[in-house]
Amino acid sequence: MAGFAVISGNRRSAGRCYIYLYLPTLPIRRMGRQLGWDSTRPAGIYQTENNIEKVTFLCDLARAQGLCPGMSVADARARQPDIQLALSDRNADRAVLSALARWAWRYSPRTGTDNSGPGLWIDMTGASHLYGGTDKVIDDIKKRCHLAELPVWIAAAPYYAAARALACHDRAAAQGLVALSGRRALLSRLCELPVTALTTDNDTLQALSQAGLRRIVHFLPLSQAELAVRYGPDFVRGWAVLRGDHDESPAPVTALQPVRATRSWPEPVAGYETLAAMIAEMTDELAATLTRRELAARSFELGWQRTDSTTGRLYFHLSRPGADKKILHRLFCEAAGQIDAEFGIDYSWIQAYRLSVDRPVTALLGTESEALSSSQTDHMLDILAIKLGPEKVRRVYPRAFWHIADSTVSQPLGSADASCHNWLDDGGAAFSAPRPIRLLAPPEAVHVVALMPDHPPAMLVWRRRSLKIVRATGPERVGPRWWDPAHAHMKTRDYYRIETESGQRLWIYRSGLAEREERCEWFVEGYFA
Amino acid sequence: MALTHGRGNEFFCQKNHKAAAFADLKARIHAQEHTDTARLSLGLGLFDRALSGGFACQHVHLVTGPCDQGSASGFVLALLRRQMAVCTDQPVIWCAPDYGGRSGQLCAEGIRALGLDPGRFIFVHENHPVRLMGAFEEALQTTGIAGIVAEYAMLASKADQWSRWAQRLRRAARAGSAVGFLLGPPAPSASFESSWSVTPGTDYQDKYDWRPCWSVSLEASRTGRPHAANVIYDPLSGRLSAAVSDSAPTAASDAVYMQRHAQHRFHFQPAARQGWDDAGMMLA
Repeated sequence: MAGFAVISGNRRSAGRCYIYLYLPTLPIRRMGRQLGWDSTRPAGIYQTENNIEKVTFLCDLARAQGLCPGMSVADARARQPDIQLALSDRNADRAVLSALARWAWRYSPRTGTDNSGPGLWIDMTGASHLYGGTDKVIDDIKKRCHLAELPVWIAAAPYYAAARALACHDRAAAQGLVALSGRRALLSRLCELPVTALTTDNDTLQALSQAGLRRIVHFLPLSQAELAVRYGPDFVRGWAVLRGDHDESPAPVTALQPVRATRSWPEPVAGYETLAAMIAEMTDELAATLTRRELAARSFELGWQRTDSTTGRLYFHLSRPGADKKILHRLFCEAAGQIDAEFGIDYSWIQAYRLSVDRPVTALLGTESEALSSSQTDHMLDILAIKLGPEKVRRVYPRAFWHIADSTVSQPLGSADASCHNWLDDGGAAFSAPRPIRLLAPPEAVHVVALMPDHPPAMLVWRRRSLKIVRATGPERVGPRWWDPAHAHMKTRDYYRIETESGQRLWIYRSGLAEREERCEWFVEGYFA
Repeated sequence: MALTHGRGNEFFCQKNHKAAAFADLKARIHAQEHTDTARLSLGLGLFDRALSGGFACQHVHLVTGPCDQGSASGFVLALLRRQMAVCTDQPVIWCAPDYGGRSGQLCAEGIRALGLDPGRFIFVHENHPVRLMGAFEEALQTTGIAGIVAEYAMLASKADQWSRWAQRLRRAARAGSAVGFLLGPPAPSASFESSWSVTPGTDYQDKYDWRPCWSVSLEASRTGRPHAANVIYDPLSGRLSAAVSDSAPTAASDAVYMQRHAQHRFHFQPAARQGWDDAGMMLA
C-alpha cells in the first residue's frame, strides 16, 4: 500500500455519488428478442476487428459450456456447434441503453449511458436521501431488474470512473456495492481490480501481462514517469482518472421533446362527426408515434385553429404515463363535443408532453408485454377525472399539524406521489390519538352542562335534542400555532371524547380556558365509529 | 280456413319463441346468480353462516345507519380492512359528496385510528347524486380494486330511481371484481345482495374500553338469512368479535388494547393536570 503515498488528495468528489449499472447480458437479450433466439441454446454476439470476428458477449449458458469473450467465432462454433451468433449492432444497443437511462430519471434527473459498454450511470448526488439512501436505491434497481430477469452489477462511488470500474470488474458488484465510506477504503478496493479496469488496448494489456502486472496493485510501486515511458501517457491518464485525480464526467441523456400529430385541411372542417373522425385519426397517429419511440405521456393538448386564425385548446391528463391507442381514444372520446369550430377548422394538432419512459424495465426489453398497458384501475380513474373533473378525484396526504383540519391535505390524483407518504409508519392505530371517523365542517356549537368549568360536560343540547353523557375521556389540549397569523384569534381547545346514553360517540371541544378567564364555548366536531 | 290455420301457426311460433327467450333469460340469470364468487368473511361465525360464507364480492351491499353517527362508516371500514389485507396492493374507492352536511365527511386521521392506511384510499367527490352514482357504477365495473363505497345521501328518497339504480349497480358489480358498499341513511333494501343496519352498541364491560361497539343487523340477504348481534371492532388487530352478551372477546386482545391506550385514559381529569402546552406538544 505504499502507492497511496503518491495519490494526491482529491476533494472535488466529496459528497458526490454515482451509481453505475453494468448490464452484461443486455446486448444478447436485445438480439435474442429481435431474432427470436431459443433460450435453451448458447448464444453470443461478435464483432469484427482487423478482419477477425471475435465474440464480445456471451450468455450464461455459453459461459458455463466453456466459451469466453475474446475467442474467435470459428473457435466458438468449433466448441459449440449449436451456438447462436449474431453481429453486434451498437446503435440498437445504444438506443435501448438510452431508453433505460431515461427510465432511470425516476431516481435522478442526471443519468446517462456508457459509450464503451452495456452500462448506464445515475448521478445520485443530493437525491439519494429521497429514497432512504443509496442502499435503498440499489435495492430498488436490483428488484426491478430481477423482475425482468436481467442480471445487473451495481456499484456506487464518489465519482464516475470508480463506480464504473467497480461495477464492471468487482465481483461484489453482483450483489450491489457501495463504496462511499472513504477515499482510502475506495482506493484499496480499486487496487484489487484487474488492469483491464484501466485500459482495453490489446497491446498495452499484452505488455502488462508479460511484465506480470495483472492487478492495479502490482504497478503501484512504479512512478508515473516509469509508467508513462513503458505504457504510454494514456495509461497514466487512465490511472489518474480512476483514482479521482482527473474528473471525467460523461454527458447525460437529454430531455425528450414533445410529440405531435397535426392535420392541415384544404377546406375548413366542422360538425361533430367530422371533428370526431379528425381526432380519432390524429390519436391513432400519436399513439403509433409514441409506441414506435417507446415513450409514454401524461399530458396531452388538443388544439385547433379556426378560419379566422383564432385558436382553441383542450388539455387532458392521465394518472400515469400512457401510450396505448385504446386509452387515448377513451381520453379524447368526448373532446369533439367540446370544440367550438365556429365557421370551420383549418389546422388541428394533438401534442403529447410530460413524456417519460416510466415503464418497467421488463417492458423496455419486451419480456412482459402486458406491462406496457396500464391497469384497468388507472383507466377508470382517468375516465372519472375526465367526466367529473380532475379536482374531483383525490388522495389525502398527512401534514404535521395537531389541528385536525390542518392535519391532512387533499390533492388531485396526478399532482403528488403517494409512495412518498406512508400513514402507518408511526404505528397506525396502535399509537394514534383518538380521532373521529367523520368530521363536521364547520363544527357545530352546542350548549352544555358541566360540573366544573374544566370538566367534560354531563349533558349537552345539540340539534334540538338533549343528550345525557354517560362517559367521557380527555382532555386533549391543542393550542393555536402562535407563529401562524391565521391562528392569531384562535383559542386553545380541550378535546373530549364522549358517549351518550344511546351509544353515540362524539368528539367535542371547549374553545377557551376558564383559568385564563376566557369565554368558553363548546362545539361538536365529529363522530367516532 | 287456411288463413286461420296460418295465424294459429304464427301465434304458436311466437309463443314458442317467447318461451325459448324466457328460458334462455332464466338460464342466464341462474348462471349469473350461481357463479361462485369470492367472499369476504367477517370472522364472525354466525354472520358468516347467515351470509352463506361472507360478503359476496361482485355484489353491492347496502349498509345503513343514522346520519348523525359514525357507526355505519366504521363498520364498512372494518370490513374494508379485512379486504385490504387480502388485496394488499389494490386501492379503495370512496365516492362521497363534496359537502359533509349533517353526517360530516370521512376523516383520514379517523381511518388511520381504525388501523387502515388512508394512503390507499382514492376519494371521488361529486355533489350531484346521479353523477356520484355514475362514478360508483364505473368503479364497480373495474377489476383490481379492493373495495368501493358510495354515500348515497338522499337518493333513496325516490323509490323508482332507487330501484333503477339498484338494478344498474347490480349489473355493473357483476362485470367487475370488487365488493361494493352503499352507505347512507335507512333505505329500502331493493335488489341489493344484502342489507344491513348498524347502530351504536352499548355492550361494553369496562368504562375505559373505547373500542367501537356496534349493534349490527343483517336485515335482508339474497343468499342467506337475517341475523343480528352486537359486535366489537378491535383497531389493533382489525378483528371483529361478538360482544360480551353474545360471546366473550379474547382476553389477550383486550389486555393489549387497554395497555396501549393507557395514555388516553384521562378520565374526568382537570385540564390543568395534563401537561399539554399551547402548541399542542406534550410536556411530560
